[in-house]
Amino acid sequence: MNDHETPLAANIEESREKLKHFLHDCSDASMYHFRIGEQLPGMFVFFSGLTHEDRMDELRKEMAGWSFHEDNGSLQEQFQYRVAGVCSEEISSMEELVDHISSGSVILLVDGIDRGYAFSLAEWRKRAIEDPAAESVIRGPREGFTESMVDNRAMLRRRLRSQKLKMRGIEVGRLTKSHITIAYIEGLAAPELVKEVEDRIGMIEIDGVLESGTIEEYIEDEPYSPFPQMLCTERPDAAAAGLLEGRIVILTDNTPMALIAPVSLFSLLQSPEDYYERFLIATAIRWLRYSFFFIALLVPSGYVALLTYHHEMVPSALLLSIAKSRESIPFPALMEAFMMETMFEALREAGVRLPKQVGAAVSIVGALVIGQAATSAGLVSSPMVMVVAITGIASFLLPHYSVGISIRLLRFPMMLLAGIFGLLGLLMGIIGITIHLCSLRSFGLPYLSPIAPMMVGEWTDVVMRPPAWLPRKRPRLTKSGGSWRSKPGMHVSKLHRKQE
Amino acid sequence: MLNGKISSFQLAIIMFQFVLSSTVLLMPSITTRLSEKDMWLTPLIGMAVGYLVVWLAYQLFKLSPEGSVVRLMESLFGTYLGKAVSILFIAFQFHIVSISIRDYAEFIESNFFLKTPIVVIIGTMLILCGWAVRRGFEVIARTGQIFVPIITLFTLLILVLLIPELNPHHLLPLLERGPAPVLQGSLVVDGWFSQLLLAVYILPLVRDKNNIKKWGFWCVTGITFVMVASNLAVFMLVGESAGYYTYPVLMAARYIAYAEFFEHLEAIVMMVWVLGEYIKISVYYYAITRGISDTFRLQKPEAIVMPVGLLLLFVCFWVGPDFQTVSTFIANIGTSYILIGFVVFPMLLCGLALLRNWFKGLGTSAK
Repeated sequence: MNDHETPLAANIEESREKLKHFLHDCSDASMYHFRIGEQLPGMFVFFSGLTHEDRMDELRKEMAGWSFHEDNGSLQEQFQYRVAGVCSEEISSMEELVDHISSGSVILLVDGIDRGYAFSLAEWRKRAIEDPAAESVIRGPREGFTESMVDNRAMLRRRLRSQKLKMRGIEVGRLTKSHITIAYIEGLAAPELVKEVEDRIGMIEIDGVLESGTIEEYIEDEPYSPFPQMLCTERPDAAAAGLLEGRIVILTDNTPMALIAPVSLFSLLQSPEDYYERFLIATAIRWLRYSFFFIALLVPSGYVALLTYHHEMVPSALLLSIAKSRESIPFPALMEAFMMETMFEALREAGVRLPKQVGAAVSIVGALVIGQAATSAGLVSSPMVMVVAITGIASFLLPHYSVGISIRLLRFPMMLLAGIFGLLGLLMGIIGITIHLCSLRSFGLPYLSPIAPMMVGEWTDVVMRPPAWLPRKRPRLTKSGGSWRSKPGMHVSKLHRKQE
Repeated sequence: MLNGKISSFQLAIIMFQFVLSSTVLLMPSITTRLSEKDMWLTPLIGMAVGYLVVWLAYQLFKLSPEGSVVRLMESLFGTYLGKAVSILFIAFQFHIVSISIRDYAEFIESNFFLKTPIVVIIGTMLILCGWAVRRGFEVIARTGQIFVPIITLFTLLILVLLIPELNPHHLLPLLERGPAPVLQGSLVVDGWFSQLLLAVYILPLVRDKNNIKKWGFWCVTGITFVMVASNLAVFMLVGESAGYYTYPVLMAARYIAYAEFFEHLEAIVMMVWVLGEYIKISVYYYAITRGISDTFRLQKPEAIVMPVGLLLLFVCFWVGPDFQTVSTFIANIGTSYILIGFVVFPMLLCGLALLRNWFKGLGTSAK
């Protein structure tokens, strides 16, 4: 007990007064008086809603049934002897008491003893494990993280039944005292990385952490970048896959969003489902995603550049049909593109924030406004509508929302550059983004690895989704980098051949 | 900015594009003017100088105390004279790179953006390069690893798409006028190869020092291959009239037309040119910044990136009142000028250092 902490009182009436003072205006704090063994006055202190009250009642009944004999010493001594086998911890100060009851424990105070006894009966209402809403898959496990740290940790442990899965706990937030868990696999994750993550989280000084986003913002390498430097997932299987690759998973209390670090841009363009689907199909889908990554970024600006400065580069038939539809449009291409893209973003945002019933209405109205009315009113050309629609779809194709949104954001400066400098501006934008991406790091891992810096050995997981039986080495970022993840030459067809 | 380490492979990739960026567009026309039918042989002869310069840069790096060529100059000529020589060498680089930048801007302006002020074209490029330089050579090397494959792929794509139009008979007879014109043309090619010496400022950053020579030689070989390929393609396409065009490859790209849709590939040429020049200017920019900060022992080289960029912008206009003057300079004395700066001067340095070491060796053995 420190000097500045308030000690507990021995007298139960005194404790009561002290508690009332300490917990004034905490209307959810409850005190429950009873007698232990019909002689010793005792009192349960807890926050209602955080504890399992039925079990507390059972405990009370059991204690009420305890009998004390006068020849075995004082009541207090006898009680202390018996309670030691039941309680989980002894406490000695008011602050400790508040700590315990706010995490769901029940504290028993007894007349004549200046100590409290904690019973962990934490139990509160929580959401059941459900389908992850933001990352749905067709093939793959259907459970997602929940708001409960205990459940989330259990979901990870269930997938990695090894003592090598380590979970370090840290408390962050002066008032929220949120529990943060740093999970990693010993022997796979580089120890320096684990220490770095722990140090960075340890340095956070803040009143409250309500979501993993706060943690992410505090510990990321480059705060001014539009690109996410950590992968945020609510899928335990994705988190487990990250752990198996030697990455680190950061779980935050009261949110289903887990952070995976370090990541590269390419891991942000992969979905956990890639690994459950047949590898040829998954590889094709990966390429589709890569190409649509560029489409989302470049199509509107490319369209603006071509129509504003480089008519000669558009094949004449196509140019004619575009020119025909743009005949009556009163706006220059840049303005048209800006208007439509902004409108699209507004619709998307409205659709996300609104309740589901209204959301449908918004998308219908939006589709009508953007698609039909604007073109027939002669305000927007139909090729422009197509461009906006294609980029919209392309940005939704990216499996992680955070990458999609950064690409959508970068689209606007790119359009501006294209509108001012044409293709040259577009190239300048591309060079600029590349310089930025090349200088970006996520916990020391270059953001564009393994392409730049080039690590040819790790290309298999970028240019294709390697088949599971393909002998693969562990990524170089891990402690045991270079060792085999799967034994070479173990595909069934080869084994059969050997037997013959 | 000075601490990012790179691998020798990354350096080779960067230097590959560093030399090629302006060659593919400009060289076919210049070499045709000098060597006519045998212009495609010029890179094959010129590559000897490429190997020499790579070797020279590596020797200089090995002879230099702490790998810094500026320190070598200071130890050879004394501190103050050495600094002066270093500044002179940097001024020479300023001159060469500003001609390059001017070249780039003139190409963009005369072919694509006739009305855009040239200062805007130069300024935007310098801002980007300055940003990359501030981030360190590591970042330039990584952007190189992304851009160089794209550039090379598209260059070769244009050449491959030209194949149906090519006529090998343009090349015959071989060595019609004897070897003299070929040698003359190869001197111009040497002017490009000699710029590889700039690697001497970057070599201290290389992590795997053992592979420098190997990758350096591969780099020169790769450059020669692309040079020969583009020279051959251009000459087989248009014959001796290649000499009349300033940018024969751009003209060649206009020849390509497949399925009435795949045509007008100038945009690709522009992309290749802009990305290539970005790498070339960044390397020069970095070398200059590093040279200055080494000469004056600056603690924070980042601080002079912006001033150097501004100076580069001015020098681009100081090199000549108009592009005609600059072209005349390049055509007449440009080659000997660049060869003196990037081959003769380093050879002198290297020779002096070797001599001094030899004398020192004599001195110690006499004792």
